[in-house]
Amino acid sequence: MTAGNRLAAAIWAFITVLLIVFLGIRLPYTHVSSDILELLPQTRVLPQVQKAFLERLDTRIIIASNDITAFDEMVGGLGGLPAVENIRGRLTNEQKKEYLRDIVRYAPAILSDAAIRSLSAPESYARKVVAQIYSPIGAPGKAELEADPLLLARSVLKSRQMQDTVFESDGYLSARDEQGTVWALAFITLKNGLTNEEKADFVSQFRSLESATKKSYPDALICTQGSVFYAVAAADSARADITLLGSVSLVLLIGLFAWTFGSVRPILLCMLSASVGTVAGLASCLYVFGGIYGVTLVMCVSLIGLSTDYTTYYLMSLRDRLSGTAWDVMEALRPSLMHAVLTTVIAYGLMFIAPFPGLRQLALFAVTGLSAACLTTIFWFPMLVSGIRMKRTPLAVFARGYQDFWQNKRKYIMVVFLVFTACTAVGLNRLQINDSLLALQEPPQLLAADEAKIATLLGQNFTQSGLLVDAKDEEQLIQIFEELKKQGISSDAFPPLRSVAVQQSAVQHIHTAEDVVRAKLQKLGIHAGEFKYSSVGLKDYLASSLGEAYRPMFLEYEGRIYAWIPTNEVRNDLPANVYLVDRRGEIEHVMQSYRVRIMELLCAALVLVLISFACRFGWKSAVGAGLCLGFAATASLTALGFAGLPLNLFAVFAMILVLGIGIDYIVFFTDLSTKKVNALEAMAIAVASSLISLGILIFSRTDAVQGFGLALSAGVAAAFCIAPFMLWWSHDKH
Amino acid sequence: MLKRRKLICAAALYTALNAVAADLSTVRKNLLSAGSFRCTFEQRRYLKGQTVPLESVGTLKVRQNSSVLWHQTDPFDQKIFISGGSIRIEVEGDPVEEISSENEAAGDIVKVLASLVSGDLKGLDETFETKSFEETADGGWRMNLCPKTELMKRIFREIGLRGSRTIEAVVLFESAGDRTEIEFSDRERI
Repeated sequence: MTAGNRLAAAIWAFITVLLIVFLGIRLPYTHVSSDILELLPQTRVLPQVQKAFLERLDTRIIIASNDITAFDEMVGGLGGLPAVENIRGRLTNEQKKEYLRDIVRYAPAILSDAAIRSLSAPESYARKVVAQIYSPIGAPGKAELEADPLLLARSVLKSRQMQDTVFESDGYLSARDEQGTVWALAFITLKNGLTNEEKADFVSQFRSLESATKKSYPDALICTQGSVFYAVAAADSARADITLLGSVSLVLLIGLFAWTFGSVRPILLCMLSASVGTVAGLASCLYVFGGIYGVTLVMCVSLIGLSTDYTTYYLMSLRDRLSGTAWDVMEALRPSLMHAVLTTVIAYGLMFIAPFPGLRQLALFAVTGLSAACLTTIFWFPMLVSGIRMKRTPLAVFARGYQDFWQNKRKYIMVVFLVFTACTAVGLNRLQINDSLLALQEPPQLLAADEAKIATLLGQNFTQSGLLVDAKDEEQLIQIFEELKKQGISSDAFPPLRSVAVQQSAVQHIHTAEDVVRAKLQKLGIHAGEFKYSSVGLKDYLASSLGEAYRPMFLEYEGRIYAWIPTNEVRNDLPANVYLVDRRGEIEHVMQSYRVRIMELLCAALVLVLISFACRFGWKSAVGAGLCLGFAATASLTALGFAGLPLNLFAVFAMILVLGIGIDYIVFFTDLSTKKVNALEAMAIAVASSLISLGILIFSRTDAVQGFGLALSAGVAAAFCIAPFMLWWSHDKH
Repeated sequence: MLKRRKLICAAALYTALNAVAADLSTVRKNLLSAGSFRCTFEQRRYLKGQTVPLESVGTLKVRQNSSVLWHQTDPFDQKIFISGGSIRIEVEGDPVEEISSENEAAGDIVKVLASLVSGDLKGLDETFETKSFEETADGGWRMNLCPKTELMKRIFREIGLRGSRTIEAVVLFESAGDRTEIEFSDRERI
């Protein structure tokens, strides 16, 4: 061991300690995001405003029940939960009184067109008011007439009940389903800035309350809708994936090394390099991005398993050395290891160009994590292997047989190629291209069914598509709304508020009719008070009890006012300052264009990798390596086709990784086989460990991760199987 | 001893309740067989704090399980036509309003109005419960109903009914403190 080696080992130890300290400080405050939309690129139109609206909508929950008693128990219980800020469901008497007062006060702004037309004929209107007083049932009382002589509140309520999807029934906010059943509704607002743990706690308390209510009222139907449920379900799914797949992968890897090496130390060495790699990858992600996404973490935890390859190659070289110390073996192997790391950095580094923060995190994690694992092998392992005893692994027999197959059974090789070609034809024929976001996050069926029911009740969609309206002031905003309504765009999010000009004309009609009605009422002994009806602006309206439901749809930001109108209607002739926001469609379009672009880059990367290969091993070997990599990539696509999983951006990135891993195998095979070392045995262990660490992703609950895992596993397995082709290609008889 | 007195009280209450139930059942049976009819009505509406009522008169035409026409002729002409859960109102020949039963509140009010004037006590069961029932000296009966639903509680405090084989008078005690008395007479089958 030279002084230089000692110094390098010490520096690396110092860096590792620094990384561990950094993680120790940052990890407790790390935000592991489970929101799929955060994983994706920022939108182009007013991103900050859209983010603010989405955050606000994310805090909303809707509950619907067809059973009032069950509803009361459920909603009553929710009031005590710490995450809940506000509940709108059952109206108190005070709330009802305030609501009616505000209706009369703001009547000019919210009366229907028909009511204003009717007020423009004062005599006829007065007759109608008097007729209502004589009605045998539902006649206005004296108190009501004195407070609202024109019965404007009745008029507004009636038109609202006829038009609005959500109406008040028996003191409850309600909606009717297609069968005519009335459902009580509650709109719940959660506190802002809840942490993931607080959200998970809330959902757990919510579900306990729901199941207790359902137990007490087995016939009651209770439906819920809210982003928080999806977020927690996604986090649970990612956590379950990480815990289950990570543990299974770890146990299998330990089992594999115990079986192959028959000794504890190689296992500990593999775990050491993987651990240092994980620490470095995670620390770099936290430093650069400030956090990490759940789906990315699932892939990273599996990916780091690849770092065991470096340990395996070193241990195999050490075992099969003819002479020299552990440091000499490392000296000889270092160029191959460094070349493997370089190709890995090229392959994974390509993912940095992806517009998706999630994939960029994966790229950074992979580059830093795998590099750190490799450096750990180079700097520390020669010190840690002194006296290590290793026997020939059980895979040696297989490896020798397989090598022999490639060198001596060339006729069979042709048969294997023909079979592979036939399989490829079938698999590629079945392969489908699909950039749907559902592959990234398929909502649990129960949540989706509940959401569909509530969407039917409210006539609303929850797809986060809609119109974003940007206005300089509230009056301009109302004018834009009137323009949109004229264009036939319907949405419950439009507040029933008129522009000031229209309101002022309504005020005139009201005052004219009021004089006539007052005179008629006086003849009946009813003396109504004096009222001053006036126009109202959007801000005052939103601040009143009438505007409560609309408040989340409006936002003031940097001196402008914005409105979010959820609608499914897609139009090209929108007025100025109105933007169609279809987040899902936009993201799917971006995913599609990047998939195409990255496939082109994949070809470019292949050329780059092969040039670096040619510099080291010559052009003939580079062409052979190109054929091997093409074979591996085709195997990835074929596997996807057979499994019915789509080719999407994630599968394309898996193919980039196949390129990186595949070239490693070819480098090691080409390099080690020339050193008369049983390269295939080392590679068999490496590929087995890769298949365990990456193949396990096939069992993920997320389609995109499944596809990623399958494409990677198939590609890596194919790269291993085809690697001896290099012997055949170069007619090497080793 | 106390126990025994309690038992006797409970037994007496049980018997009395049973008797009320039996009588109510007879009244319901008789009323339900009232069929289609025409009659005149006199309505007096006492607004809270006023001693002089707003009076109106007119005719009522009920077609069993089909429609109700409330035709007020004085002090002005007003027709309220209830059919199939919807209500149409005409004031002095002008159609002024049409309410569909799809409107939750209006639908319930229409049902109550139709049940009250046509004597369909069963139709009131969903929204009202019997508070008291007594037989009168002239062989008739008198009962008071209390609203069950939030909507009806907001409109009515109580409803009083008087009749024998038919409903002869209705008193609506409104929650806001107003009161409406309606008397039916000159009933004839159609």
